[in-house]
Amino acid sequence: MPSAPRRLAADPRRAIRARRWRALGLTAILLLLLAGVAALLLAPAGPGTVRVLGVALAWWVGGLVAYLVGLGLLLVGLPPSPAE
Amino acid sequence: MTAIALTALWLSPALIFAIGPALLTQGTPGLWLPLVAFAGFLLAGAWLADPWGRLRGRTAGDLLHHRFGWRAGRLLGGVALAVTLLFLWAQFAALREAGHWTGWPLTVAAVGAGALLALDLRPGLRRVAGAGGAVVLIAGLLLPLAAVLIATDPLWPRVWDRVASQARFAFSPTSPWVVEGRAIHGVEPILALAIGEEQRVRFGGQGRVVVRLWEGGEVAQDVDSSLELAVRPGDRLLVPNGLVLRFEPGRAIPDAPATGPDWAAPETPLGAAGRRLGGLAVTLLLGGLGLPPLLALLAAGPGLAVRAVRRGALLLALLLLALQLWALYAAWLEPEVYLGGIDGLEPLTLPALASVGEGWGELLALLAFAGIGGGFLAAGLAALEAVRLSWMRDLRGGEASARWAVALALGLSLLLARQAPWGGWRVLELALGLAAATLAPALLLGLWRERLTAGGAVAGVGIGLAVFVALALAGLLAGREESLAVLTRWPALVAAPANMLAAWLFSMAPRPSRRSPPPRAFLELHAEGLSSPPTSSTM
Repeated sequence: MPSAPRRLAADPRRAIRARRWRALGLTAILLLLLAGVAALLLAPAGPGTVRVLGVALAWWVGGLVAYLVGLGLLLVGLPPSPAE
Repeated sequence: MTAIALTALWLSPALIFAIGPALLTQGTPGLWLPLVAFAGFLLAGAWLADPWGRLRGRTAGDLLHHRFGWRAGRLLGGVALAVTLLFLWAQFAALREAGHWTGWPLTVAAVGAGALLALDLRPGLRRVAGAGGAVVLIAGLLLPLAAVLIATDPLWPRVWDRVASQARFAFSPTSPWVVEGRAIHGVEPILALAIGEEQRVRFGGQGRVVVRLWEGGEVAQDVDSSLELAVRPGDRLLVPNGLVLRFEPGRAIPDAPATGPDWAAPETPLGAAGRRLGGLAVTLLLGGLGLPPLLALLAAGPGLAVRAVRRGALLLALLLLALQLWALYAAWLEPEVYLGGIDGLEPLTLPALASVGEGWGELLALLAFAGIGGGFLAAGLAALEAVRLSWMRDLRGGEASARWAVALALGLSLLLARQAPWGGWRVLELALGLAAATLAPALLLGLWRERLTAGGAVAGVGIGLAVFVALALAGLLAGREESLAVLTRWPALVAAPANMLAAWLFSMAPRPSRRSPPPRAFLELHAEGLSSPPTSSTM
């Protein structure tokens, strides 16, 4: 597979478009995760502690997954700098 | 160091002071704010770090100059100055809030302004102080919290469980508010305590209090340490900030939720809650993309900016989690935090109350307070640098006049923090909203859309600005009109899309031929050193 600078040199528009799609992909996944957490937060809470704890614990798990997935995507999703 | 500086800037005191109170007052929905704050940082990194680092630009005007050889300096520079001024004002408002603990909030804010000015005048010291402030902030938020966790219960889901299933939030017989009484602190000079249960309140000093009776009418009373006042459910007790109060054991804590489930899942109409989540999300997700101090820091060079964002994101995730834990443990160990409304500094007194070791509690609480001071210095100095850059690069001011611009920005921010009743978070929301409505779309399209024209970018910024100002003014004039509230509180919801649409429509340049290379200025944003773009394409 050609390196990033080679791909840019061969077809700059396509290479830039690929980078844009990667950033868009990261944005879409983050927004989906946020929408999932928002739906969880807005879900009507039933009576009793169990329901409340369910929402709370789900947030902790969901929130942590969102943090980690977001970080992971950032680590692998950002295009490498051609200078590197 | 750029990673630490980026983190300290994004997690400025105005944002720190919003996260704890949001969790304490809203329960589960309060977890949304730190989540979107983190996502906003990630998005700014994903879209900006690589091309912006390569541009080595410092302001939004630099990008337009690079791409079109034309400076839309006055408009962009003016907007960047306005955003930065709001950001600075937010930090002073937060500092004033913290200053209530000393009894001289304005003096504390003025000392902060003096420190910023003194440090800003010496470029060498400025850099060291900014980095040092950021390190103190990180240490101040993490170390005392770690001590509290170790001394109590490090398993925070269990603590959440305890708080969310609490039968009542009541004064314990051993609470210092019951045994010897404590001085009440809050954001306002006069604090209104919502009484949930009949009780007798005693006073540890002289002052004038007012009881607003639940059935209507009010009774004013000069109190001293010998007096006891009976209040009933539904009454509101108005006391001066700083007055020492004593309560009866076993009685409900004024202003606290009635029970744990009431705290964790407060009853809010679904529509209002959804609008709030949406408004916060748009403001914080887009706000970071156009925040001038962040842009100035990201101009670290190709590769460096990306690495700084990666490390900064990790640090930010840790600090945001820590801030939520500060609030959660405060609700568990010190439910009296609800008394008189919650100011941002209140959860940070926790180490002084939890048993973290003889004499260590106060020391660790002081470290946490010092962290806020360090965060103020880091965020304030970055903001002053952004003022200087906008002044010199976009508005073409000289170096000497830049000093005056910086001093003026400091003075104006201090004055606004003194005169306006808004808290730091409300002003920071405005700053991020204005950035999201104006600079963020121009930067996104300028960095990533080949067909954007200078006219399109400027038209977008102009329209975004006009819509933002119109909606913000409508909010001020219409007050709390429910149907307009979501748009006037978070004008970026409409202004940012309007900006983007206008930039798109005003950039109707002919589609470039597949055979022709992209303009060199655009290409250079994505590949450093590509001096001669190829003339043929494989597409």
